[in-house]
Amino acid sequence: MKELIDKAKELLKEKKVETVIGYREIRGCVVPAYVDSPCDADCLIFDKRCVYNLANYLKWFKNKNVALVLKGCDAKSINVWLQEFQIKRENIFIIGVECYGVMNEKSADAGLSDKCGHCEAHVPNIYDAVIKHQGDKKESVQGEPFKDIQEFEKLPHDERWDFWKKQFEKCIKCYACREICPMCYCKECIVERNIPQWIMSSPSVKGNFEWNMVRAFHLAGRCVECGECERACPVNIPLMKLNKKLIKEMKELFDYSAGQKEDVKSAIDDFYPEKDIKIDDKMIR
Amino acid sequence: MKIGVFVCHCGTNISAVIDVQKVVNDLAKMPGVFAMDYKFMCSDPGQNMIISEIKQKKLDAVIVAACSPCLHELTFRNTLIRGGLNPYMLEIANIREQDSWVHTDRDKATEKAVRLAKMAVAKAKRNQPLFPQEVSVEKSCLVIGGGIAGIQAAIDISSAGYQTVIVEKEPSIGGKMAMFDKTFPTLDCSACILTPKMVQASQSKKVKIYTYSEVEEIGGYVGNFNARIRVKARSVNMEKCTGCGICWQKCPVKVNSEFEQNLGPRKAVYVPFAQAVPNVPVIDCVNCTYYRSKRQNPESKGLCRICEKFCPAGAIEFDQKDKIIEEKFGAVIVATGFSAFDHKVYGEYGAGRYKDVVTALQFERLLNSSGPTQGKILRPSDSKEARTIVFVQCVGSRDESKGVPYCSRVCCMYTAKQALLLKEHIPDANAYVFYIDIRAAGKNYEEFIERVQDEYGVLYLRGRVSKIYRTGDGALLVRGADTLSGTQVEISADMVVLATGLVSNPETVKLGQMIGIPYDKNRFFTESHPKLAPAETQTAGVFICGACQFPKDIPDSVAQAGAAASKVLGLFSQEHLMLEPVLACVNQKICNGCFHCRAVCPYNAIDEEILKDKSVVARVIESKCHGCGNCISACPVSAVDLKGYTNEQILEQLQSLR
Repeated sequence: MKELIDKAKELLKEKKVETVIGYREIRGCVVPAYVDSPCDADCLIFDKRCVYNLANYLKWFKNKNVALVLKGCDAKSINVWLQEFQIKRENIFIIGVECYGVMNEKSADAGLSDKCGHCEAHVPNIYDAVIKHQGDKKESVQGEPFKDIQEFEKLPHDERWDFWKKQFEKCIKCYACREICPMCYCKECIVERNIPQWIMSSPSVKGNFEWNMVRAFHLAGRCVECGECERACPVNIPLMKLNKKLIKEMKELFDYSAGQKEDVKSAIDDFYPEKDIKIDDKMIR
Repeated sequence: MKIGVFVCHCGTNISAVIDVQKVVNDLAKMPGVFAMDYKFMCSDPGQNMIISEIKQKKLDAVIVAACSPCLHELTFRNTLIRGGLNPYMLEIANIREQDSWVHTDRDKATEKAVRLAKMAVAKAKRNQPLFPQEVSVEKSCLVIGGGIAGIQAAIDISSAGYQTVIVEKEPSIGGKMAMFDKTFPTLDCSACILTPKMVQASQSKKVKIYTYSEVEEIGGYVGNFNARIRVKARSVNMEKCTGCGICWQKCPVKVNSEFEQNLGPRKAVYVPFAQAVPNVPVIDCVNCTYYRSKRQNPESKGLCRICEKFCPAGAIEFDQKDKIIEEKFGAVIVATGFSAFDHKVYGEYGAGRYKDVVTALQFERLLNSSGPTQGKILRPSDSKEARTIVFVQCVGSRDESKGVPYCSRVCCMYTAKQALLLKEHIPDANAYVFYIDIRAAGKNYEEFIERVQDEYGVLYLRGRVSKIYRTGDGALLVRGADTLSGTQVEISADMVVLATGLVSNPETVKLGQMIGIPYDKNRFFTESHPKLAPAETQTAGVFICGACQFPKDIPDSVAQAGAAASKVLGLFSQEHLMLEPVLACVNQKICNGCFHCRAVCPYNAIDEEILKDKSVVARVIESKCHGCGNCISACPVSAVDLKGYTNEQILEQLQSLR
């Protein structure tokens, strides 16, 4: 913790950054913190309660010098932002934190969050300074990362349809999933366009399907699995199931995972005419 | 907004399946829509009817429900101009190709026609007048490939007074035709008719020739292409060299000559053939002793250097570097030609192991009086005169199992010619030709085949060769079927000539992607229209000619070169070009600046623009945009739209179907 506070103080003192965005504790709850002066930096903490993806706050700091406290999963979003020219690398200072899992906010027991189960990024793949992990380093659960998706795919069509229909019926179109997602940075979201109106604005089953599908597709090849959308959803729609399905397809078809490196072309921008993409019946179904 | 709908009968093409009257009645019920029908809308009276209705009814947009827009869109756009409307206020509902020609149920087809027309009305309501943009034309043409097609095109364009640049990757222009001995069916000496053309091109003030050069990059658009040409280091100063030939006489390194199809030697410093243009040698850096010693020990002075010592003009420059030339062109002609099929995949013909099984191009060199044997037909293995020769046709043609399903078109003719020349060289020689079919569709071609068979006594056997063996005495035993007599044939031959087919140039794919010419599954360039635009390509200002499009003989290549040249001249005769206004445009208010559009644009038509609030957004460079729509599908916020086909228009069309 001291390491983190010292780094933040150093950055602010030397005026390398205007703000450090990190985590702090207020009345037993962990919340995001904006620290503007070195004397305030003592409040910064990092432990397994720090679930939020702070990369999301870059939306409000696009052309400013900021430092961010980022876990391995969150730091991947920075790579996607760089690929999509949203920020300049020199404007941000990444204080990477070594992380061996954050808690599951939604369940009462002390277990780790679902996304931590197959984590491969204990140390961020992009950082300017890294804060070492104190205490025991528990390796994540090994095994097939897409096991739940594969099992879901095996269900008959009608059953899957009913599942999602039931889930999307719950949607109240609060767009919390969009607001919390670091990848949803559009100036004007497609759902708010009305000339032409692509997506029905009222929370009907049809409109909800449209919205949730469009949201998932806009994240294909971009979602870094930070899991924030599912965490923020007030009606508990398993949004990561949709995201993970697309992550799986991207991996299998194009051997592409989002946010691994800053200097590779994003999946939508790349084209290999010599590479035959095999599309089997299973996918079209 | 008043919209006129004009439904065409197309004789009975449409009216036989579709109840035209019902379409007119249904459409006329729509608010603000006037509808009528006529037997032939595209005829003069039909068009005049549209014009008079535009004027009388004060129409704002016109729908023509007729054939595919590929056929008459331009006709009706001009009709609208004559009627005083913007031509882009026209919509075509295709009720022929997409309806009457493919359906039989009259009621359902009529219903579909009504819906297609209603969709067009829905779209037309959102149409905006569009205006073509003017661009200047750089009146200079780039010809890629200096074979007979490229040379002919360059001569034609330059003789009309325009600058032309030929880029040829070999050290000399001339291409494959320079290798041939005689040409069918007239038996003109190939070099004798080609070299005057080469000289004419090289002496023309309007033709610039870059040999030993390659086009590295082409950008831009019709009228304004930018090309980057790499002129490879020859190691010989082209200005100083007199072509005296001392260097290659003195050079001690002997390697197989590519021009002689590996049947004869050349030196490490060489001109490919005697009549080469330019007559300036190149040094083959891979085999030259100097370069080899330099590679082993970069510090040393380098071994040999004999050419440098003997050159009276001091033209040898070992330290020459590749030169990059950037030039602007108004048009590009691609004439990159073909490669010969590699017969190594035919195990039954020896897979290239038998020296005396030669390709047609090798035999061509053996026949040639300036070839490695001075025109004597000697077998490569022991230099004995070959008196019995078996010709095998369709090697690498019409053979799907070897990946060449097509007919190479010229092999029947050149095989007949080679058999005839053999008989002229050695009158008592035996010539056998194994063939599948004889394809001799050309002026005087069939007569030529007849002459070869009747006058010269070449024996034609219909059937394939199943196996070629080598016997102890060095002869080749050819086993094949004669399907006409139904027997197995075995011929003991001195030599076998394989009529290898024509395949595409290995660089076709790279070049096609760079310039934007589609290619087919056989990797030949695809013309814009197989019947009506055989020298044009999908990319405006880029033309093709010669065997890079499909196997062709010399007259066809020359004819197509002339066609391509005339298209270029048509382009150059205009002061300004009008470009289609159906282009992408960016709504910069909602653009995120993620630049997925730039990454997917094949024409580099997306640029950055910094707005007042310092956000970086995309901008379309209109002169480069072709309106392909890649950017539109890549944009996550739908900030990009295609003028004339906006998202709004398309959604409107879909909603009209409800």
